[in-house]
Amino acid sequence: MSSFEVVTPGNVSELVNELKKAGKSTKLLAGGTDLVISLNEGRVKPELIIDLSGIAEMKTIQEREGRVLIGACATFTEIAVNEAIKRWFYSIAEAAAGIGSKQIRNRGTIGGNIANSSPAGDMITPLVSLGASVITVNSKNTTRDIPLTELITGVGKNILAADEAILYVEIPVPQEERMTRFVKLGSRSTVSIARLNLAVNLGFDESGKIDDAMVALGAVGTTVFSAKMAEEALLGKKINEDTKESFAEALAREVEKSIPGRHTLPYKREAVKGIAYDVFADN
Amino acid sequence: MRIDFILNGKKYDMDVNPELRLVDFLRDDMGLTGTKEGCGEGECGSCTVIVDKKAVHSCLILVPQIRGKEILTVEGLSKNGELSRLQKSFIEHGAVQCGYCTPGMLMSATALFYENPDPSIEEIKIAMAGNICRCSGYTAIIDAVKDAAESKGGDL
Repeated sequence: MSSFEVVTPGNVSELVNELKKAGKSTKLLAGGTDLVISLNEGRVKPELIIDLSGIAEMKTIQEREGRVLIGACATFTEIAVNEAIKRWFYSIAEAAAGIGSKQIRNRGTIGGNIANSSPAGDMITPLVSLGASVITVNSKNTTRDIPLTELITGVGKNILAADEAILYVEIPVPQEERMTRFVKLGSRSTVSIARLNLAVNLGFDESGKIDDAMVALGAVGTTVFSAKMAEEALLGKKINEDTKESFAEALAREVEKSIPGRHTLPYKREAVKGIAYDVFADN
Repeated sequence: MRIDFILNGKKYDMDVNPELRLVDFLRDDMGLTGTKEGCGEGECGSCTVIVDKKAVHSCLILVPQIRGKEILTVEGLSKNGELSRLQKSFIEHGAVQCGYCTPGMLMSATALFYENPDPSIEEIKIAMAGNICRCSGYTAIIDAVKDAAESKGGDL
């Protein structure tokens, strides 16, 4: 490890002060499940590390004015068991419960998952399907509210400035009952990085037809994206075998469009159909 | 950097090198070599310790992050020289082969008992999924955990 300084702000205003010292190499430390590996392997050489783990307000999960605010340092374990999240955003709880191992879920955070901007980040896919955004603060104490789809721009890339930290993830609470699900496919059943992941957020009319569909697909291409063709395949339909089949076919077309010529295409275009059916395993 | 923490029941207030990972700090500075490093990237679980009642990888924590926390390592499981019920169960079931994964297995199972004193086989498997045994002695390990949970009476 190279030589670095670690500072430990105890609240957000202390964080804002520490961010004033932040330069290009500065790293924010939350759960450490990615950063500490990179440090140990010498892949990053920061001069300053700002440890966020002592900021209590960044660990809270609260329901307020029609939104749920999840602190950036809330762990996957805390998210998976939170009542408001299980009630409104089942897909988030499902994704959190399936990340890594128990030890990783006890440390890894939602803010870290977003800031690392992995195309396979299991939190990002359901959050995109739920229209989530992040609230950030910078060294001038200016806050920004950035939709997740605008935040993440590529593999490991996002528009966060060096002196900017994610404080909260913000998700609008739906007006009525929704069906939200998350499924992933890894190389083994647990403790595995997603080869494909998929989240749906569906609304239904009185007759049981889908009248609003948000579908997000991850680990296909450089960022998680909204799968418009798959959404089209669901709109105006009831959930039945025909709908499932056309949804699966539409997702296969999304994969073909997203990663043409990639060596993983023949596998992923077939495999996505399997997880398409898994979404509706209870229907 | 000066921090305070509790390690295996004892309070400390001391200067630490903030650049160390918890696993290095425990082994090199505190002399607690029961915690083993395997992969160094949070995949194998052999460096598992308990921080504030939760199983975590000591290879993924920087020492400043333990300030104000309570840490338990495998050395802290026995009481007054007597092994914990879980440790005895590992011996009875022959759940130790080469032994390198054993401290991590014990810590994951101990943390599981904190939140669920009588877990099912399925719950044990979920809690231990992040602990790899390359001798592949999983059946004996799961049996040992199950048995330690079932046998009532006495502290863990």
